[in-house]
Formats: sequence, C-alpha cells, structure tokens
Amino acid sequence: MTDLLTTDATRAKIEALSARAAADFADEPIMETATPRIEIRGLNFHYGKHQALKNVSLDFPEKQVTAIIGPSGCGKSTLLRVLNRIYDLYPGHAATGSVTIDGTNILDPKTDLNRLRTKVGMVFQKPTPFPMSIYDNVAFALRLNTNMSKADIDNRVTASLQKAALWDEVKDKLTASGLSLSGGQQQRLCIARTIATEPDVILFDEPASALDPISTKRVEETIMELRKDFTIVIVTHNMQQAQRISARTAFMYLGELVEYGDTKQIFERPHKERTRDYVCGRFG
Amino acid sequence: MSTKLARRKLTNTIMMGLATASAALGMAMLAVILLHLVTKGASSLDLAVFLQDTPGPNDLGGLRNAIVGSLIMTVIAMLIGIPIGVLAGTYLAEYGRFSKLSTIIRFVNDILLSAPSIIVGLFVYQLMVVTQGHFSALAGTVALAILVVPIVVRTTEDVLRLVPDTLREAGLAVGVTRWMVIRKVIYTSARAGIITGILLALARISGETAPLLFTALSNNFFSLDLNAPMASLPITIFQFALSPYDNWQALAWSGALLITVAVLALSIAARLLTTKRVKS
Amino acid sequence: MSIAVHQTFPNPAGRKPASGETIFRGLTLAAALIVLATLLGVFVSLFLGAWPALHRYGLGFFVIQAWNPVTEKFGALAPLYGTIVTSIIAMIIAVPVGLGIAIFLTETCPRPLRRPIGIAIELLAGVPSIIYGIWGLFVFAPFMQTTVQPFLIDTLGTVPGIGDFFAGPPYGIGMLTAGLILAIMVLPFIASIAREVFLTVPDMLREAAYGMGMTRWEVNRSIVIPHVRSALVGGTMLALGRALGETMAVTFVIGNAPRIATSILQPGTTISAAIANEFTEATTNLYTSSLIALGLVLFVITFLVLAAAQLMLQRIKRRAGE
Repeated sequence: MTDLLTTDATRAKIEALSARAAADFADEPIMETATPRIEIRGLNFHYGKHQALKNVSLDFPEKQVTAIIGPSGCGKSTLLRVLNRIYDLYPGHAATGSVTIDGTNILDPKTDLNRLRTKVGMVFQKPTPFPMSIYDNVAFALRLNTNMSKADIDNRVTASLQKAALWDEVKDKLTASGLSLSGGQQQRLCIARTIATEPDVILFDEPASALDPISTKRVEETIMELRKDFTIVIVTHNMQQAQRISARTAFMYLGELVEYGDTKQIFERPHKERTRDYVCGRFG
Repeated sequence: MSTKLARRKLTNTIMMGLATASAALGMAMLAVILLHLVTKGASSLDLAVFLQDTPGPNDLGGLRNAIVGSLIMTVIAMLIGIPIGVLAGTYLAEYGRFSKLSTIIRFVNDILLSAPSIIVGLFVYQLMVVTQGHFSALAGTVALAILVVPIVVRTTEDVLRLVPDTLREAGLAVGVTRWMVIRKVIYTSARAGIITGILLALARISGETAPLLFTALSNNFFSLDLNAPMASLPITIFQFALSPYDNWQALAWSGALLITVAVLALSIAARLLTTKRVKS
Repeated sequence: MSIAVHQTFPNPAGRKPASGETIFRGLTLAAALIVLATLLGVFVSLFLGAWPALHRYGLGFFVIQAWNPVTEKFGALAPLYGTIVTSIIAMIIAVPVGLGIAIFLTETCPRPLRRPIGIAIELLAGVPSIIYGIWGLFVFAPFMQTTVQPFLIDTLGTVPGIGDFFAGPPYGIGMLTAGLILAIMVLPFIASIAREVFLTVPDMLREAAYGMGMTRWEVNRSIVIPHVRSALVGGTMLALGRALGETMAVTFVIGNAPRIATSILQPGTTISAAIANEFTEATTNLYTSSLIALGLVLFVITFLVLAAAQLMLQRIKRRAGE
C-alpha cells in the first residue's frame, strides 16, 4: 500500500536531483560515498483534514547536516516530527508513505517508539530542560532505558556534556537545576541530553530561534562538531544559518518538496523559480 | 453642563456608591462573624479542650476524641482520595486528553465538585452502613474521600495542562515511555499545583459535617476503631451547639474556632504555594 | 519495489517498557472511571433507597404537604418549598451585593487594597458552612428576633398584598433568617467568581469605553457585565447549586417545621435540613426511604442547576480559547 504511493516518476525525479546535486558538489567527495541514512518515499501527512505534507520523497545522507528551509507553514517542522514519530502524541495526526531508517519503515504501527526515539533524537525550538538537576537531565534516559552502571553513566554524562560544549560551564554545579541555566546553556544541555542516548540521527527544530546571537553561534558550532558523528537534519527559517552549517538543503513550500540539493547550489543557482524567490527574500 | 450629563454623573455616583456600600456591608458582615468566632471560641479554649474527651451535660471536658476522630478520618480519606484524584486527573490531561470519555468525565467531575455533600452522606449510608448493618468511621472516611476526589481531579488536570506540550515531546524524544515522562517530568513540573489542590481538598473536608452525620455518626468516647462510630469535630459542634447546656455550647464555639483556624491556615498555605510558583 | 521493510524496530535492551506503561495507563483510566461510577452510584443508590417511598406514594409524594412520621404520611412539598424559598432569598441578596463587591474591587477600591481584600474574600469562601450555622444560631437569630423581625412585622407586615409574607410573631429562626445566612455564606463565593470574571475583560475594551466618555457605572453596566454575562450567570448558578444543597448553615436556623407558611418569618424546613435532622431518628423503613427520596429530589435539582452552570461556563471558556 505504502509502496504504491512511491511512484516511479517521483523516484526518477529524485534520482535526477541527486545526480545533479552530486555533479554540482564534485569538490566534496564525501557526497558520493555517503549512503542514505533516512529514505522518505511518498510521504503524506494530515492534521485532521488539513494536509501538511504532500507526497514528499527525499533522502538524508549519513553523517552530514541537511537543512530544511521554507516559509512558515510549509511543512518543514512537520517533516521533522515524522522522523521520530513525535506526532503520535496527538490524535488525528497521521502519516502515510514510508520513512525508512536502517532498513526499517518507522511508520509501521508495530514500531517500538521508545527505541526509535533513542536512535533518532530531537532538539526543540525552545530549550526544554526537565525539572531536575543538570546531571539528571542527561542521565534521565540512560537510567530508564539501559542497565548501565553508575560509573558508565557518569562517564557518558561527562562525555555528552563535553560534546555539547557545556562541560566547562557546568562541571562544578552538576546538581544544580537544569532550569537555572541561561537559555543558550539550556539548549546545549538539551543537545547533551540527546546525544547521551547515542542516537544515529539528531533532529533540530529551529534550535536557535529563541536564542541571542552569541548563544546561536555557540549552538551552531556545537552542531558543526556533531556532524562528524551523527546524521543531522535541521529545520531553520534562517537562511544564513542553513548556508553556514548544512551540506544539503531542501526547500519546501505549501507541504511540497520544491527543490533539494547541495546547499551551495540551492542558494546560488536554484533551479526552481520559487526557490530563487524565497532564497532572495522575495517572499516568506 | 447639560442636564443629561449631570443625570448620568449622578447615576454614576449613586451606583458606584452602592457598589462601595455593598462591599463595606459584605466585609463588615464577614468581619463580625470572624470576630464573634474568635471572642466566643477563644474564651473557653484551654488545654483541657485538647486533653479531655467530650463531657456529659454540665460537666468538665474537652474535644480530644472529636479532634482525634477528625484527624484519623481526614487523613485516611486523603490517602484514599489523593491517588484516585491524581490518577484520574492524569487521565483527563494526558492519556484521555482528546477522548470523548474525558469530556463526559470532566462534566461529571465538575458536578460532583459542587454537589451537596449531604447527598454523598446518603450515598455512603446506602453503600456501607446499610450493607454492614452499622455506622462506622470507615463509612465516614469513604464519604470524605468522595469529596476529596473531584477537587484533586480538577486541580490536577488544570495544572497538568499548564505544562507545555514541548516538555512532553522532549521527554518522549529521548526515548522514554510516556508514564515515565509523566511521573518524572510532568509531575515534577506541576508539583506545586498538585499540592495546592491537595491542600484545598484537605481544607474542604476539614469542616464537612453533613456527610458524616449518618456515616461515622458520633461517639461520646475516645475510639480508634474504624469499624465503630467515631466522634468528629464538626458533628460534635453540631450536636453541642443545638444542646441546651452552656458547657456544650462553649465547646462548640471552641471547636468552630479550631476548624476555622485550620481551614484558613490550609487555604493560606495553598495560596502561598501558588504565588511562589507564579514568581519562579 | 520493496522499500518499506515491515518489521518492528529492534529492541536489543531486552526490557519491556510497555508493561509498566500499560499498568499505569490502566490505573489512570480506572481512576477516571471511578469518578463516573460515583455519580452513577449516587443515582442508583438513592433511587433504590427512595423506591419504597416512591412506590407507596407515587407522584403524590411531590405534591403532598404532609410530613407526619406518626401516621406515616410523607410528602416532599414543604421541604421542597423551603429549599427553593430560602435559596431565592439568598440569591436576591447575594447576587447584587456580590457583584457590587466585585465592581468595587475592580474599579473604586484603592489599588494597594485590591489584592488583600480579594484574597480575604476568597479565603472566606472556603470557611466551612457549619461556622455560618453556629453564628446564625447564637448571634444572628437573636438579633433577627429582637430587631429585624419586629421592624419588618410593623412596617412591611402592615402593607396590604405583601403583608402576609411578613406576618406573625418574631421567632428569630425561620425561612428569612435561613435565607439571609445562606446569602452571607454564598456572598464570598459569588464575589470572588465575579471578580475573577471581571478581571478577564481586556483592558483595551475598558479603555475604549472610557475613551467614548462613558462613566464608570456605564462602562461596567453596558460593557463589562454584558461581555462576561454567561460566565456570571454560570457562576451564579454554581452559587445557587450550593445554596440549594447547603445543610449546616440552614439546619441551625430554619426551625425544622415541615409545613408551608405564607410568612417568611415563620419556621420551615429544607430538604437538606430535614435529612440532617431526622435521618438518624427515622424509625421505620418508610420514613428512612422518604428521607432518601427527598435526597434524590435534591440531587436531581442540583444536578440540573449545576449542569446548566457548566454549559454556561464552558461557553465562555470556549470563547476565551478562540
């Protein structure tokens, strides 16, 4: 049933797109060796009667940063929320099509969502520290989902906070409440919390839109560090940010994927007129 | 100034004057009640009130058995009512948030919240006293617990819904099960509000009289037996106030003062918790 | 073209997170169903308890004024009448005064006093009704007997037409006294609801009205009150629900006389007062059953009033949510 939605035409289009992107990005050899970590085919999404995604098909390559841009309401956040099925929280939200991660269609109703979400982590628009200590924030999922020893958890917490570039600021006050940190620190705490479960994929939903410029810069630097180890998908309304940190960019409009390719190409030589209008700031 | 404007201004002065007067009247009435309560209640309030049991007519005594009875029944009622209330509130705010069943239960709960407490007494009489064949403290406890539940359900649901969805999503996004997110994240965020609801429920049942009238009944002696009738402060006040004996009436006033102080203290504590939460 | 591999996302940790989840979820649902079961239980148990009386007297139960345990003739009319009359007296007084307090608190009260007075009123709304009852019995009823009732008998009692309502000797206790105590009891409740509701009116609306040159009274009468009308009606009905079912504040001062007197200065009874006073003394099954039948009548009435109140309040909540 789901496969039927993935028309040959779409597949052909995507292959063509990928080929073109690869050609444009010849000076970056990583593109050619990258295997797709996430394959989306014929994805439709409904909030009740409203269709938020229309037959979207694209791949997110492994260990790269892919940005999704588009005007508000274009479905970019929705697309992200499909990837860890967080939309399942709400009734009437339904996705059809297929989203394959490591050979498994995660839209399958039998999917173990807890397991999926430890593999596909998410950082939200607003910092969302849990109402507990900094240490407990990072150790939270480890304690509940694994049988790790106290020492292992200690090490993992330290490593995660280091990777999120927060360690130096909090190492002396790990028992302080996560809510006592500044907005930028809270967001990096959320990143640390996410990488602590050792996911393969990290989703960022406009992670810096609630932050000041300096905090934004630090979060961006953290993301740049993380791309070595994780497949990253970031939704952003900030086109400079997309250009700064992503290798590939998808442009969405009114629930459809308009154009997908190498970031440089999308911003400098877009193929579609709509993409050009958007990246030149003519609408959105 | 035109006559029309003058008339409008006059109306304004009269009506706003009436509003002020009604406020003064209302506040004065309530002040008078509290004043009487303190003067009449405090005049016979001594240590014996806490140390001695209810006396016979024109005898010396206190309210010890009634105070202890009230404490026992209130505490057990809270222990029964809180878990049911918090869990049901959790269902309404979390698992069943969008379901039809929740709409019905919310409606029913709001009715129970304001339903006459004497009706609850009749219900428990039918449910327990008739089936067991005798009045008991346990029946009184159940009646009080039935009053606790709707208050806790309502406040729990309200405060859980104040917790932003992003926090729920964030909890789930690290791969933790829903109930763990609720227990460790959502409850912690909403703790102050849930405790406020519990304190309000406690304040409410501390002074409830009608549901105990024909469930726990009363007892002139000190008793800790949950299967036997048990004295309580409100019922003792009721009986003693309507009696013709001066010493009983004096004890009724003392008991009324004790209940009022307890209820006001609980309400103020609940309020302080809420304001602290708003500030932080 | 098999892209979608239908298999469960692997769960190597081997734990079963679902079991705790299922149990917890089940417990919350069970607790929610207890709430529903309680209401149904109240209806069913009251109906079963009332059945012997309803079966014996039929619909006559609701129109018979007699309440005689000796001859076993029981009718709900007198307590029903007392319940409604005392509640009407209470609402006639408490609603305007409560609104007055709310307008005072949101308009004329000096700012530093608004919060303390508002809080004091909310606290008073939580004072148990037995406190109002004991005060009514020892302080208010004697005051009514020596001062208010003689005055009413001498003035209104002589007016043709309405004189009958204020006739008779001053007992102190009675329907009017009970109604007034009820009014004092629901007053803080109405005032705090009205205040809360008035505070939801956007400042913009008030400012716009003042900008048109309206006086304070006109702004409140024509803008504020109409804006929140359904919430006010809902809140008033909640208060009415309380007054109808109130037991302790009334039982002390109503006189517990199961008859319908024209004069509101005379003793009467209400449903809850009759149950509170007589239930443990009811000697025969039919007597007990008749009292439970009274309880059923009270429950049905308050259920309808409270349900209507809910609908009113939901309407404004929905509007606020839009």
